Amino acid sequence: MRAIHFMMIDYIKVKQQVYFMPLFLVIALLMWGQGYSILVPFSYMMFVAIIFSTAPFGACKKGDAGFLVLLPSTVMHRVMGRFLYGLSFVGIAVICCGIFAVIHQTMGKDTEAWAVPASLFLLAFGMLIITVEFLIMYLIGENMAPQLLGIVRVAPAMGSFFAMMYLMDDAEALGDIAMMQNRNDGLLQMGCIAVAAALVIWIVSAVICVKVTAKRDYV
Amino acid sequence: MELLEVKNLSKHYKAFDLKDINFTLPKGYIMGYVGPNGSGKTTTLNMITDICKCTQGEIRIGGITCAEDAIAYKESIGYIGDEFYFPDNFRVKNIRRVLQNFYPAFSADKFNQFLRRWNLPEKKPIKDFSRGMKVMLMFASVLSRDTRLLVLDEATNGLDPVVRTEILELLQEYVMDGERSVIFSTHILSDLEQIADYIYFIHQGRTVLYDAKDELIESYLLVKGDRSEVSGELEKALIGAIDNAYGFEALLPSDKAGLLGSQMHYEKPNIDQIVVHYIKDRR
Repeated sequence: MRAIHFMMIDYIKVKQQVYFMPLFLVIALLMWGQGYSILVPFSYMMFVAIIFSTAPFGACKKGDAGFLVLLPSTVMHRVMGRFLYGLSFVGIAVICCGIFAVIHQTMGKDTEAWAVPASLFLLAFGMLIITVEFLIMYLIGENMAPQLLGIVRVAPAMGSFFAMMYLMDDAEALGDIAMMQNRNDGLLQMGCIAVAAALVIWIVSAVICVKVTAKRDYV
Repeated sequence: MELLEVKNLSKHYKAFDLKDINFTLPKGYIMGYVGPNGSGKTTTLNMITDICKCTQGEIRIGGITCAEDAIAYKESIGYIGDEFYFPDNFRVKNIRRVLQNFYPAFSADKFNQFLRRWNLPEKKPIKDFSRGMKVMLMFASVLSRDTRLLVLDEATNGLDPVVRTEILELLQEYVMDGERSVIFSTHILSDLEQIADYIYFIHQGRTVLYDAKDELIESYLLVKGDRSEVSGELEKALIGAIDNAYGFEALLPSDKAGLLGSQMHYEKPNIDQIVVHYIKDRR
């Protein structure tokens, strides 16, 4: 419960940024309206989730320690709260993607058979990126230089989004999608395994971050 | 009954060492923790609040260490620092909500009473509060729950005399029930003169003095006179002699009063004077 309370504190700290979330949703819808595959808004929402999930690190200042560190809790509560905050954005991205998928179906459009496993891989990949970013930020320290923080927050998200766009263009050109459609069953299982593996890595990383943070001074 | 026990506390930094800090603070008392800038006051208080970790030693509040029960340990502390510690974009309602979530003993009614008493606006963003309002908000947040130890790190710095006086009265009220204590670091030693029961004085990370305030004051004399009247033995006994236009001024342990000549003037020193002469002596 205390971890959830810390997650709520993170939401309050970055609420001005969270207010922009619906705007990104609209952009994702507009992209989809351009005739791209449904995976494009999915990957865009994952890009947004990656960026937003690390926002509280940018809102940390040393002086806050007198309040946040003194709240009756353990280091595990604080770190888990931050990880839950990150996970909640992945959850929001997944819900948005689910809504897209429903709209897609309602409009009578065909969903490519490979879209579900590809979405699962995308989800696992997004979680992995966020996990690595969190690890870096906790290893360096929550009060890292703003320039470095900006790079760590934005570069992997942008890189993964543009890589996804490139792969999709490339895959269509090469006719790989047809091949993927034929091997759909195996891909779906692999996608599920990837998400489960990402979740395990997420938990292991959180434990590492707790260990690192427990030894650290906050000033 | 001791509320705060600090044993062999040490902290090692590259350029600074805090070493072997030992003291106890009984329930119902106020301790002034004093020393010049960079002497290790904030480091000690940060270790008490677990904001930073000690290299060696042990801290117990009400008999428990932070490692044994972090939640109970932190629930018993109310901390007010020199720096305003609520996140910038928080509003009063956010602080109230967080305190409600984390402290079972938090009283929203009491918190609201403090807000009204000190005219703290609910709707104004707290980053726009004046220094005095920010300090009072921090006080409201710690006094509206069941803390047992107040840790104040230069909390009264930069406050006007009216607000400072009000805070000193609050601290006296706080310890009145004999169950709660205050450890208070400040450069405004006249504040300690008014409210402290114990004085702990550190310099360059080492303990210089630690005693009950009244005994400390009784232990020394503030000596003034002409240098020519200072004998060799007296010279050795003087602490932190400062030359001025009228001769010199120094501290002398009370038990050495017999060394004073008939032309020497002496009086009871205040805490400020004891600290100044000790710092002078160590430089």
